[in-house]
Formats: sequence, C-alpha cells, structure tokens
Amino acid sequence: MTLRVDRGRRTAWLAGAAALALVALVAFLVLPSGQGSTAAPDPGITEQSTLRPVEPRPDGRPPNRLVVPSLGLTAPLEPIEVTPAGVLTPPDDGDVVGWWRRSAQPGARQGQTVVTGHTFRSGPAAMNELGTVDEGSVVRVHDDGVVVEYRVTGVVKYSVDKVADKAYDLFAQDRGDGRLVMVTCTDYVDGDYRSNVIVFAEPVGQAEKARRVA
Amino acid sequence: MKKNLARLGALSASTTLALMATGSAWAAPVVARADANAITLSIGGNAGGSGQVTATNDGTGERKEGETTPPISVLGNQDLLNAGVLQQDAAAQVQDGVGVSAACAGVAGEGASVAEVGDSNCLFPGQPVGVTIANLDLTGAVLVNPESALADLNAIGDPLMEQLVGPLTAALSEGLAPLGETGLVGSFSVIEERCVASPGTAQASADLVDAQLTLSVAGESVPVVNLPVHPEPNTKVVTDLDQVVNLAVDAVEEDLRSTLEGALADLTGVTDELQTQIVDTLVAEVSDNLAPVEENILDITLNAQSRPAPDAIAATALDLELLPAAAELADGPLVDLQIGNVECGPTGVVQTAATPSSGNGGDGGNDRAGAADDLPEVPTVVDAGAGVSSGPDVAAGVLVLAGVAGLVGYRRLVAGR
Repeated sequence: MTLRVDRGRRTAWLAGAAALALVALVAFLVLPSGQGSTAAPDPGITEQSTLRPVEPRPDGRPPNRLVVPSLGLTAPLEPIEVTPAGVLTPPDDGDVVGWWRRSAQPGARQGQTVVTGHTFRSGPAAMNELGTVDEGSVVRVHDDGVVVEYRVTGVVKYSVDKVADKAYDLFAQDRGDGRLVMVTCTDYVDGDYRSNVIVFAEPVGQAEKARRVA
Repeated sequence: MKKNLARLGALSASTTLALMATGSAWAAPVVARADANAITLSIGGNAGGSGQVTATNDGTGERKEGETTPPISVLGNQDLLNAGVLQQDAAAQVQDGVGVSAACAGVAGEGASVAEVGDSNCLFPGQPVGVTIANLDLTGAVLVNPESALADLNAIGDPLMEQLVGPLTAALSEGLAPLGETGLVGSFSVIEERCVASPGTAQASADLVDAQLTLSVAGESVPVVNLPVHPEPNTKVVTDLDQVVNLAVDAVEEDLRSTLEGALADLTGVTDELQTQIVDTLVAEVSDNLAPVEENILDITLNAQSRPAPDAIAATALDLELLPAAAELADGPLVDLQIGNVECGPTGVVQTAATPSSGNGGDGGNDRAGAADDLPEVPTVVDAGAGVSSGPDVAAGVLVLAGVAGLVGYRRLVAGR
C-alpha cells in the first residue's frame, strides 16, 4: 500500500515534471532564437591600455574575447584550424568563437585576423545576428589586457561556392592591412546553410583614415 | 586607358603564370615576386619590347624566368632606338622568413655596365644613346589650305592684293619649307627604374642620367626639356614647345617680308602700313595653325608609380606618348615608349608549423598545431551553421524523454484511478 501510494505520488510528480518540460521545450522551440551571448557589458574597456594596433605576439596564443557592442555579442575566442579538406569549423560550443590560428593576431599590421562563430537555426549562438551589423559598428578584440578596436567596413553574403572561389582574397595572409574578418553561416534551406555572412572590419586608425579620404 | 588596361592584363597574366609555375597556390604560396622589363615600344599600334623577367619565391627557393640582358635587336626593325644596352632583372628572396622582392630595368648607351639587382643601380653609364621619337611635318599643319590662308587678305580691300597673291603663296612655301624637317629626338646615358618590396612596404625610384629632349627646326636644334636626374613619383614633364612655334613664326615672317619687298618693288601705292597688315595677317594664320605644336604634343611621365597593395608597387622610369593631337603633324605612326618597367610584391611571410601560432593556446577540440604544413593555405569552406545548438540539443532530448515518460506515467495514473 505504501508502495502504491509512493508510486502514485512519484507518477504524479513525473507527470508534473513532464508538463513543465513540455512547456519549456515548446517555449524553447517556438521563441525566436536569441543572441549567442547575453548582452553583457564590455568589461575589457576598463582594462584597455591602448586602442592602437599592436604587433602580433610571437607565442601565437589566441586572443581572449570578441565583442560587438551593437549586437550584444561577447564571446570567448579559441584557436581553430582548417581541416585537410579546407573546412574551417567554429568550436562546438555555440557561445565560443573560433580564431583561425594561422591568421593574424589582432592588431597585427600584416595579414588579416579571421574569426568564425556558429549560427544556429534554433537556439543561441554567438553569431546568430552577425549579418545585421551595420557598417561603422565598433568591434573589439581583447587580447591579454590590450583592446584592439575595429570598425565594420563591409558586410557581404556569399554562397558557399563563391566563398570557395574567393577564398584566397577573403582569408589569405598576404594582405597588409590587418583587417578583421568575421564569418558565419546563413541561408538555411532544407537542412543546409547555403551561404556565409562575412563581415570586414578595419583597425580604427585605418578606418578613420579611409573615411577622411572618402 | 587602353595602355593601362593592357598593362593590367599583362600583370594579371604574369601573376597567373607565376602562380601556375609554383604548382598549387594553396599549397605553396608565393611570398615574394618581382618583374622587370627594360623597354616596351609601340609604334603605330604595333607593340614590341624586350620581354620580361619574372622572379618568384614560395619559401623553397627562387624561380626566375626571362632574359636579363636581351640584345637591342629584340626590338625588331625600328628607327627609334638602335643602339644601347638593355638590362632587366628581378629577385625574389626570403630573408629571416620574410619575402623580399627587388627589380631593376632600364636602357643605357653602348659600353654601359650592369650590376646585380638590389637596392642600388643596376646600370652604369656608357656612351650617350639617341632616340628618334618622331619627325613632325609642320608645313602640313600650317598650310592645310593655302587658299583659305590667303583669303583673309581679301578683307584688306586693296586693289593690289590680286597682284600679290601669287608672290605671297611662293613666299609661304619657301618660308615654311625648312620646317618640314622638324625632328623630335631624345638623348640619354641611362634611364632606369628599380623597386624593392617586403611585407607592408614597397618603394621605387628612377634614375635618368643626361637625359633631354630636343627638337630640330629649320636647321636649328631647340632643347625642349632637360629631364631631372631623380624625378619624384609621377612627375609630368611640361614640354616648352612654344619656343618651337616662335622659331617657326619668326622664320615665316622674315621670309614674307623679304619676299614682299621684292614683289612690291615695282608697284606703287603700297604703303608700309599695308605691308605690315599683310604680314601680320599671314603670321597670325601661321601661328593659329601651329597651335597643336604649342600645346603639349607629348605626354611624358617620369617615375610613374602605382600601388596595388601596401607591399606592392609598379613603376616606370619614363613613359612617353606622342599624343593623338599630333597625328596630323607626325610623319609616321604615333609612338608609345616605356623605359624601365618594374613591379615588386606582393610579399608574404613563409608559413611554417612554428609560425605564426604554434603556442600553448591550443586546448580546443579544433587545435591541430604542428600539422600546418599539410593543410590548405586558406579555408575554402566555413562550416558555421547548425539546426539547433549542440548544448540545448542534449537538454531538448532529455526534456523530450522526460515528457514522454511523464505522459506515460500520467496515463497510467489516470488508468489506475
């Protein structure tokens, strides 16, 4: 009897938990996907020692954090590498952005810094809203107490085929301007992402100069 | 514009060939490249030149193609330049893991010596060399229509004019005859351009030794312009051709006056004032028709430079073009001459497993330090999308399972009541 009473209470508890779980699941699936990270303040600003470009560190360690204030994006950075097939994949954790380890250190005057983060069709991911960033928006990369500041100079959407065609122009390290390239996926069709959103940002000094010239 | 397009096309083609020559651009990126061309000459639209030397380096060694000191005969049968030494050399080296490009190209007189390409001169003067740029037929410009030139004299309204037309026509022909042998020539000892480039930087400079342009008119040699030894980038040369016009007009005026003196000797009623009016009218006609000469019929740029990238530069020591406006004056096809074409860069850093990032930060799942040698130079696919996030995937699965279990339990509970 006791056993029957206990089983009944447990079953009722399970039923209640199931209802809550279903509500949570529905809410999770129905509500629009949000930003990858909460719109946390940019704590790095208090630690910045300079906004000028810095030379790459010889040890090749990854920068610490990517911040796009206008998107509320704050994400840690981890080093990633291209597969032998040429595929660059962000870290599995959607809140973490990958820094291509053979690209330039932020602030380097040579090459370009390439970072990529996930876009999830459902659920938070760091770069869900990357394609909505406006030109002129500030992007900061925190790098061991130094903040390298960029301004967005261009946002493009390329098909995966076009990305492959223009891969050298987009990601090669023989450029000399030290720009930041942020990449994620878009155009979700039938289970596949068919395009990439690519955002270009220049170190603030160069962006200001370009604006004056224009 | 057409010339720039042609040069751009040539640059693209040479770049493509260089990339092809290195095999897979992805696997072995070129970290240094340079091109050199001593002279490119187009006469009447027929282009020719000394060819090109191209040097590339992908970190495994320098590859160089082309002839560095071609004979002047490579220019073929032409009258512009028939003596001298051509030098065109390029280098693409790796120094401390960094690509460094250098090139030098130019023309010097016979007996000139050449040196290896680097950051100093590659040509040292020998004998002066002459360049015949064009022969200008000024008589054609002045007397396009002698009748119309003389028609203005009718406005003077003097009954004696009819008697003067014949002698005046003869005077014009005689006065302008020497102008038919007008020649535009140049001379120099050395004209060369050189460049160097490394990551983030590129420079070019020009050297012109004893270089000048001269016009020979009516038996006189008139210096048009002396060219600077070390011209600033993109220096436009202003040719002071109004001297030529003045010389020609003076010759015509003097001839007319002497002719009129003789023609009018037996006539009465011709005042000095009328003579002056006649001469002034014809001289004005001559001057108007020489206007294309007074304007620059030459477009000359020294040390012409362009920078396709911060670490790349293309430069030409002397770029001379006989403008289309001179087409009616030139005795022969138009000339487009470039001496000392060089291109340096772009450059890069040799990629190795140790650079730029073999450090200790690779604790992520994608860290493949040490394998960079076997990897593509750049990613060709960025796989940054998923249907749902991986973390919530697990939670969603648990929630679904819990929901299913809960429903089963609820149904049992209901059934048990």
